[in-house]
Amino acid sequence: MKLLRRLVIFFLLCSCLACLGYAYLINHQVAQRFKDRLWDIPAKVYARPMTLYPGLQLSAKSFGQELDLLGYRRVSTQAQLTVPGTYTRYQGRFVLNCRPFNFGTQARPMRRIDLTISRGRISRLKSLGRDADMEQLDPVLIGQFYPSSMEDRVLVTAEDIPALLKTTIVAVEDKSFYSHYGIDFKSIFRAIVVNIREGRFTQGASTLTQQLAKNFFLSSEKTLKRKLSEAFVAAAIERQFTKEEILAAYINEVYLGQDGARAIHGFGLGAQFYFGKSLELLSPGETALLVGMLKGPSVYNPRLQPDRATARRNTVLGLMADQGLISSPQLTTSLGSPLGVIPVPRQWRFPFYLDLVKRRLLKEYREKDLKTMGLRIFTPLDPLVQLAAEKGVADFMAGRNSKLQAGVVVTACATNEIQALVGGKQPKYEGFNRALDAKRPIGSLVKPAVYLSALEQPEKYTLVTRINDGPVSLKSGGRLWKPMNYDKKFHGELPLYQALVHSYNTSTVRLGMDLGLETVFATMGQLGFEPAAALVPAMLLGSFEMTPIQVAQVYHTLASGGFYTPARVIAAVYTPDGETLQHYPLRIEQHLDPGAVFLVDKTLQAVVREGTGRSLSRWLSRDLGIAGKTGTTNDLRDTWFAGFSGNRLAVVWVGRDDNTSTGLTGASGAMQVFGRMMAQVPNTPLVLTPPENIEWAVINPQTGLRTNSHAPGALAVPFIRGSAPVVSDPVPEVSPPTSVTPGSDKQPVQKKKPRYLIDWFKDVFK
Amino acid sequence: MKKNYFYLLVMALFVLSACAQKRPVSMPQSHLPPESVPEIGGSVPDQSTVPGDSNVGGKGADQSPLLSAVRPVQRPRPKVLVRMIRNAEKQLKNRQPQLAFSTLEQALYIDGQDPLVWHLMARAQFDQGNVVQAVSLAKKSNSLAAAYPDVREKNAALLRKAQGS
Repeated sequence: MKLLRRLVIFFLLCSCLACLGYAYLINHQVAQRFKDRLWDIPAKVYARPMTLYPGLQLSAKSFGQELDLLGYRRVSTQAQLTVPGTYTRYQGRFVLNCRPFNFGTQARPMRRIDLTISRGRISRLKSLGRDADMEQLDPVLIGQFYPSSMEDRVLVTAEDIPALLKTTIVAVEDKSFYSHYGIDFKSIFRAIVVNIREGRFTQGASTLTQQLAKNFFLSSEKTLKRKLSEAFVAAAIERQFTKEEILAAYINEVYLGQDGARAIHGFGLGAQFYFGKSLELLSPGETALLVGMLKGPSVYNPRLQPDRATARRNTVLGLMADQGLISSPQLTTSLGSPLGVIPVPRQWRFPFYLDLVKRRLLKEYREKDLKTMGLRIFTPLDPLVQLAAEKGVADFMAGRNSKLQAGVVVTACATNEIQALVGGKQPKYEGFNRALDAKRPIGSLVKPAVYLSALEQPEKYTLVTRINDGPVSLKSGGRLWKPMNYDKKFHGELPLYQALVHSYNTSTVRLGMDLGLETVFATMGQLGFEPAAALVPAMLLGSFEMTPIQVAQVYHTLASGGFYTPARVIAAVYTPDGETLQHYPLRIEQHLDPGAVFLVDKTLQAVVREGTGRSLSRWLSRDLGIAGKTGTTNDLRDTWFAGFSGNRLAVVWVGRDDNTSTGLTGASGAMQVFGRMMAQVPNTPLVLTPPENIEWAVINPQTGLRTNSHAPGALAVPFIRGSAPVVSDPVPEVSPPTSVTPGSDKQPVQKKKPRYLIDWFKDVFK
Repeated sequence: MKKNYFYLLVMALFVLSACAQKRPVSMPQSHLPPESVPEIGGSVPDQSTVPGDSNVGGKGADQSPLLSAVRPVQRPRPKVLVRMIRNAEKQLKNRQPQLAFSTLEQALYIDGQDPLVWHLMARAQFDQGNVVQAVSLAKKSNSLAAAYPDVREKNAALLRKAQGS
């Protein structure tokens, strides 16, 4: 007997020791787990915030589209503007309750913005009732990088949780939360009694702490072992954390529904997902509904099961009133109010752009960090431009060969920030990103580099230098190469600029060979791209491969007057706390003479006005002065267009993945996409400013010599200073040039008075 | 008879006028495009702001849009841009060049071709010790400053300082 007692005592001691050891182990694990980041938060990628100011070119339709992208809800009257993210519209007048937003460097509060749009511009802007110079909306969320669990949440701190939410959760889920130590034995006993009486499992007894313990550490299986572990973990959590910390963790952790593959976790995101508002703005009825959904987010899904959800909300409201959390009038009002649930917020997806963002981020961050650290990534994507680009591609593709594909890159001329990217004709499909990866011959898009190389030698070449567009044959790779013009004709002697305007091949090859391939491709390198292949004459006609994004880089250097700016797709990266992790400021380098680039840009304007790009006028006003270049490759396999206005540059490729003929040219293919797209977005006219080393002269384009302003066909031609022809045209009415002092250029040119009677007669009888 | 002599004289002058030597007429040479002559690529009316727009401030506001069609003129500067430039200047004065640079990056969204914005960016970089960037930005400003002699002077001064540093 004594032995038995000893054995029992020994066994009990061992059990106690084991329990203590297990408790110690669990305690340690809990401490470790809570020391790390508790949740994996997906990175959020934002578009540029729309900046509003009086005078901004903006149509009411575009602004409405931006608000739609932002998920702002239209209400009928200003009195209904009670929550952020709502607006009213009376024709061109918009009044919005702007959402608060933390940009990292500055936080913008919730505020009322009142703006009027008339004749395609913002004519009046008011913020908080006063005239404002500028306002900035919150940016459109364009995508997230999710962890493998696909959990999404908006973290809220203990201080930001409304008291009513806390008390309601406690009242509904765990009444003795503030008095137990993780396990509520009274509730367990009560549950056992109820379940035995009912003959089935109807009541649980898990405390909030136990639910948290289960979610963080354990599986959802219902076994005794798991239940015991849960009790140990709950006790450990209670030992290490305050009740407020435990409640805040619970509020951030709980599952509240599903949005496709995305799991909605936490009340912060729940409030946004179901009511489009932040937690502190929830009404008692909305709070009751969210808390009521904890019992079964699918069963009480207010969008799919509104009756059940209403009944559940009303039960919770009754409980809240019983506990004195809300007054009787509040109860009456809440019971009579609708659920107030908004339609599922539309998740904008721009997978091709996001692909580029991710590639750039992965150069500096680990993929795991991107998906779990809750980074906030600000990009220059302009969703209106992106949608216009997608629509431009879709409209062009409608009714055409199903195998045609496209790649589009749009950048800002001033900063070379990528505003839009289309990697294929199905913009929502995450597949081969042609804008980044389709390496295709660029055809005539290379020609500006050839002519720029020439114009960088003003002592030898000007825009009106006569060059030969006759037959040419060259030995290349042991074979005789005889390039032809697209129209199968030769055009003899012609001014240099005309050869580029009409994209003649033979004159370009002659010019390129005179300059030397090394010179031409050194210029190409300065523009931003150096071909890896060995240089051969055919490359003067673009027989080397580039991707659309590489072409955009090259043409941006042209659009920015010879200043190279690396393309940017990320403006800044912030931690969830607003700390700047990375800022990507603008950087520029002068690579080319602005004077020579000005001459090429002027000629590229002529390409669109009178050359291969002239049919662009179908889409865009000639007053915009678009500069651009078409490109077509052998057998019409690839069609390209690269062009820029005063504020935007776009490169379009249209071709087929199987590299067979499209039956289209640069003008009938890619340029049509360019036109459709650019016609939908605000463009400023391209007014090229002549750099200091530019002078002008009136030239007879037929001879390349000076003439006077009244001569037929006379053309004002820019030259690098000192390179203008000195010889005058020997046709009537021509006079030799005389230079004038620099100051005289500011004087208006006055018609010269006749100095002789005979001149007067000539004028009379002219 | 006298009357016939007069007609004869007029006719003689008329016939002789056809044989007259071509008189030299001076042709102005300038770094600005001549007026009333078509340009290569055509001229472009500046539509960056609505003519007579009350939201436009600065010196260029009263310039005729017709003149800007052929000659580089100071670009109309929206009020918001004037304010941003003032802010950036203040920030530079208060030795906050990084903040000033951010302000000016924002200003580029409003007008990417204002040479004063680029000049101030150059100053912001210079004040941060980034001399190479400062030089590039000042040159960029110069390339846009044909109608802004004051900005050209400021750039020249900055470039001199950069060379000396």
